[in-house]
Amino acid sequence: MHCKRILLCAIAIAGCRNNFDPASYLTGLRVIAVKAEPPELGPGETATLTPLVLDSIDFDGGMKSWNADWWLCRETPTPGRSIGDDCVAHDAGTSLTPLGSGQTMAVTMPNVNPAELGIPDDTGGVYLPVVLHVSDGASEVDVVYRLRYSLLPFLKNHNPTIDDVQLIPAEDAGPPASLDQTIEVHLGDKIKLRTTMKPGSSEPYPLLEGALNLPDLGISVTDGGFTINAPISFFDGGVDVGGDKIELVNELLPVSWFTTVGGVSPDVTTAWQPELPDAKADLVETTLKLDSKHTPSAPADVDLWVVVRDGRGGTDWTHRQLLLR
Amino acid sequence: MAENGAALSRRFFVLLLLLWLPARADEPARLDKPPRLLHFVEASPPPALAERGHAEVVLGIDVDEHGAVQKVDVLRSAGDGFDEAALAAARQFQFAPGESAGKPVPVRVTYSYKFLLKLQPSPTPEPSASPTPESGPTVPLSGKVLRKGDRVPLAGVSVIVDDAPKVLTDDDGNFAFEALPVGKHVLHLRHPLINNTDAKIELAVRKKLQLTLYAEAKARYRSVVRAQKAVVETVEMTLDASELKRIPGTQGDTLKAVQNLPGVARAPFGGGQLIVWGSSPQDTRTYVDGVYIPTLYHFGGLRSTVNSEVVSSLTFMPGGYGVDHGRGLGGVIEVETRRPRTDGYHGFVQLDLIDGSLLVEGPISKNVSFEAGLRRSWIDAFLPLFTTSNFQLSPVYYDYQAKVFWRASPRDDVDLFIFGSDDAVKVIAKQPDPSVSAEFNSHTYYHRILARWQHRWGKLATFTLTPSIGYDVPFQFKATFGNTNLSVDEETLEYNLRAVARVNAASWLRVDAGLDFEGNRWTLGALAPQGLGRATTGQGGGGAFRGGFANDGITLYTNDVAPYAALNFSFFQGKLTITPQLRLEILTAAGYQGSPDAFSHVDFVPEPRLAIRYKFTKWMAIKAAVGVYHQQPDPGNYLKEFGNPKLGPEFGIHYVAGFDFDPMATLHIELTAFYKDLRNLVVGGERAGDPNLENDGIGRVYGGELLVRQELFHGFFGWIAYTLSRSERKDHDDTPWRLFQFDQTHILTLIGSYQFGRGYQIGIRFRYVTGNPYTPVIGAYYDAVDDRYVPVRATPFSGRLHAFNQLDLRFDKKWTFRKWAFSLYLDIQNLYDAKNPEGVSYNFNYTKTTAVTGLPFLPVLGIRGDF
Repeated sequence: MHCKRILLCAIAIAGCRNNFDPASYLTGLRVIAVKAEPPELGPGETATLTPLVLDSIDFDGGMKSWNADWWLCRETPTPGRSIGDDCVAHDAGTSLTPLGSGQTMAVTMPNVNPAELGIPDDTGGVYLPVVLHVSDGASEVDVVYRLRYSLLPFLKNHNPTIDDVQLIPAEDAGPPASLDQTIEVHLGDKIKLRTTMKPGSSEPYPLLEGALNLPDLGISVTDGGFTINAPISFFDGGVDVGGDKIELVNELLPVSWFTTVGGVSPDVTTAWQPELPDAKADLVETTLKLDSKHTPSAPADVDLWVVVRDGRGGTDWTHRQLLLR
Repeated sequence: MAENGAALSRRFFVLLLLLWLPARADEPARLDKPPRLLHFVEASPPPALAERGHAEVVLGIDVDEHGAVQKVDVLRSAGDGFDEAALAAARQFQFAPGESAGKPVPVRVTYSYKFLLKLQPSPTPEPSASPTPESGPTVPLSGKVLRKGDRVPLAGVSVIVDDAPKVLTDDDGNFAFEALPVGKHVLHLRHPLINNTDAKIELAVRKKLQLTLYAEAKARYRSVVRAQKAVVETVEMTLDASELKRIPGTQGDTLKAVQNLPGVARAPFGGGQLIVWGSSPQDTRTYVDGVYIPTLYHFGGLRSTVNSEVVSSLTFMPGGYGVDHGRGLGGVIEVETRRPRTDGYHGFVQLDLIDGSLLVEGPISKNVSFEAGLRRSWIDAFLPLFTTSNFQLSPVYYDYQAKVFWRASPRDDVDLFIFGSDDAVKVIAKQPDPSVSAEFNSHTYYHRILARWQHRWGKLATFTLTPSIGYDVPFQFKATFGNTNLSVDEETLEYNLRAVARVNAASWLRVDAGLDFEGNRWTLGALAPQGLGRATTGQGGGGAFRGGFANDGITLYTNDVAPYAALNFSFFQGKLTITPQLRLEILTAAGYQGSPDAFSHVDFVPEPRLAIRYKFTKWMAIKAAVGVYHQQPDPGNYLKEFGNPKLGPEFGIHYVAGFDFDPMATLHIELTAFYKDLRNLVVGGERAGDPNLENDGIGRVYGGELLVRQELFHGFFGWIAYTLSRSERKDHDDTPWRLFQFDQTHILTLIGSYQFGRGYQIGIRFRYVTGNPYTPVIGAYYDAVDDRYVPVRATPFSGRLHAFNQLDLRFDKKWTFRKWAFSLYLDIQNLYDAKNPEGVSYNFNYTKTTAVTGLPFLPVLGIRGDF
């Protein structure tokens, strides 16, 4: 039990300040999301994976070519890790299965025992890691996307969908306005923003606590997939599998904000949705600050990228542009 | 302690001065009673006396617990044969031994042997002398001489009336004249360690005068009570409180001084751990009056949990120690508390920027006395001035001590001691993103009640029995990271018994035997993310999946009992000592009682040890020791979810060899080499399917240390402590050796302090320490599901931080009044504001780094009043 040491380190680290740029400030070669369609699949099913790759040259209006090499990682991760150590080691190789190169990649879920994929996360999911090596010739980024293995085929996950990015005016200055149209902003402006989602983006999923034994639920895994030997019925807030009641909870949909000019704070919010719990309702807004740091005095485009995730591999993103004048 | 009347007929007289002043004003009482000269031997003066007329030889005399002179050194030479004459005489002295805690102890005294040529014999009055008969009425005069400031009775002070009658004060500072002429007189108080003090008095007919006189003490005599308790002294330092209080950087905390000793690694800023000879902090055990306590320091190492004012000595044994201690692979720290004062009511109040403390003590009846102290920090009051609304740190600690001492009979002492400590820390780190905001609440405390009965059979034997109970929360931790909760709640009920017997069986044999029992009921509840543990993967299609969090709780009973014995053979007039020892350790552990996961095991582990010391000359000795040690795993390691109930004890062998040099009475040099072979260390499972924890680790620690220590001499004391060592671990058979996380190749500490007189003292401490190993990040990948970069780390502890260096300064000024004293001190840490790295901080994708630096320039101002 080294918690005391952890606490002391946390104090030391939390108390320390540095001048590093935040992750939300885009510069250089960056990969800020990977979308799989579909994001959850059973054995033998195929998904198309697309990374969101940004490069500072793009922000200046030019396009820089980039390419990605893809692998599957078949090493069982050690506890506490989301991917086998060998798959991300500098001399990785033996545990990686090449998939090919390209800006997108089709990945088929192999017939594996889900237990080999590691310990379920707190959404009850296990994942097949896919490794990308993205390069623009000058810079490189290693990325891991974990493709969710469908344990409960009747509750498969889907990607959320961003409906709009809205500018929230000052109090009593009217309703939120869409950022679909380019607007002008100025040095020193502080712009409040939020993201709205299309209905159905926040999906229910079973909340798994403690041990979940698949045979007890009447589920067996075979080379060809699942066999469910139990009656399934849904009730308000959950699902009954062979008499075991599994509670369902809705995804919260965290939103990551990225900008090429100024800074966003906070850089992770929650997507606004009508069904959002009251306790989370005040967590939907971020502020784009066009202060002197990372804000040029000359006119420039402000590229704003918004990525929403559902915590179970589902992803969506959108782009907006503001004009700094 | 009188001048020898036989000298009256000779040409010389010898002025005997036993330079003892009980040191109690600003230090805990070290000795209850100083040695007293019973048999004085007059020196044969050398012929040079006729030419020189007078001479003075200052001697250092080691008086053993029987009052015999063991060793005499010349501290200040007079030459011309005076040294030899004084040495020959002093070796034949016989003393009543000094006493500490009611028992005789070895003490070193400083003795000034004066030779004076007298052409005419002059009478020397006996104590309680009567004046030269004169005409006119006389009256008696009596009184007491006390030290200014703290009213400690001064023994051995010459009280001279005008120029003729003279008496010496007794152990209680009392003096008496049977008859002095009525009229005006001047009283002169004389002693080498007090400033000359004169007082005018007037005696009236038929009026008995009772005086209380105060004398200002000079620099204190330093006494060291050699470890009576330890059965072997291979590598051991017993520290003197008065010196250590004024070491810069310790804020007057005696027990923090142990961090400056050789063999002790520098703890990271805010850590406060004791890392001894390359062992983990939890491997070093701390005892107070023979009773184990879970922690010596409050959080961050700011203060010790036992107030220095109740401490009489601190003994530090980094390794190779005797069988009276065990259950730890590291070192041992033994804190002995003092007995309350019986010479009136006393106390102190101390305030500084960190905390405030007070203590009162005094007699309850003739044979019963008490002391009670309390301390509380107030960092929480001013820390918000230095933090932001997004980062709040609220630490509070307090500790208390209360003792009642009863001298039940001349041979029996009984102590009842209640003490405890409490630390609570709350940290709130708000982030714009609530999902990464964090709140930590930590609470740690312990309480102890011990009773100690000591019985003495004269010089033959002593017996000490110490039962104790305690209630601890070694660790209580609740944390919230965003929406994630983590909690650990650890509680311990302790019930211990220590029995120690020491028998002086013969002049060449001393037997130490005892029983060391420690029992506890330990309970723990833990809630942690599942990833902290290791799951057993299932087979086939029925994998046993677990949720993202795990709850675990355990009630664990550990009852460890160890009878032990040590035979201390002494040959060749004490030049050679051989101490074979055996400790039979029986370690039991049982947990999850009444559940299917119940476990119970008993480990019977004999621990033979041997220590040898040979004294080649008066000033040089060689020493060596080897010993076997075992240690129960941390109780939390028995958890089935996060640990392994089948773990066995860790095991180590210590090998120690070295030299002791004493070229001067106040200068000590120790050179020691050590090697530790560690086995069965608890480490994490290596592969999926392995237990969470297993006894697979091994370790080795080797190195040497040097201590050059100058005791108080002409106002100066200080030491140089240097350790060269390497500590390595090998977690599994097929993993390579790696550095221990606190491995520090070079540890250099220089300490010097000088007393200018008139209450001024200044001291410095300089430290240079190799930087701690750390595990560098050599890359990172972006986890697109969690939207975070995950570091890829190099071989564990393959990097090393830059070296640490720091200069501390301390200034003290003390004003001494008749019945009380006032002190002011300024303790400045990191005088030149060195930016010492304590860790490495990375940017979001681990492509940029910066050093996390430790303590900045920090002045601490404090005041204190003693009465």
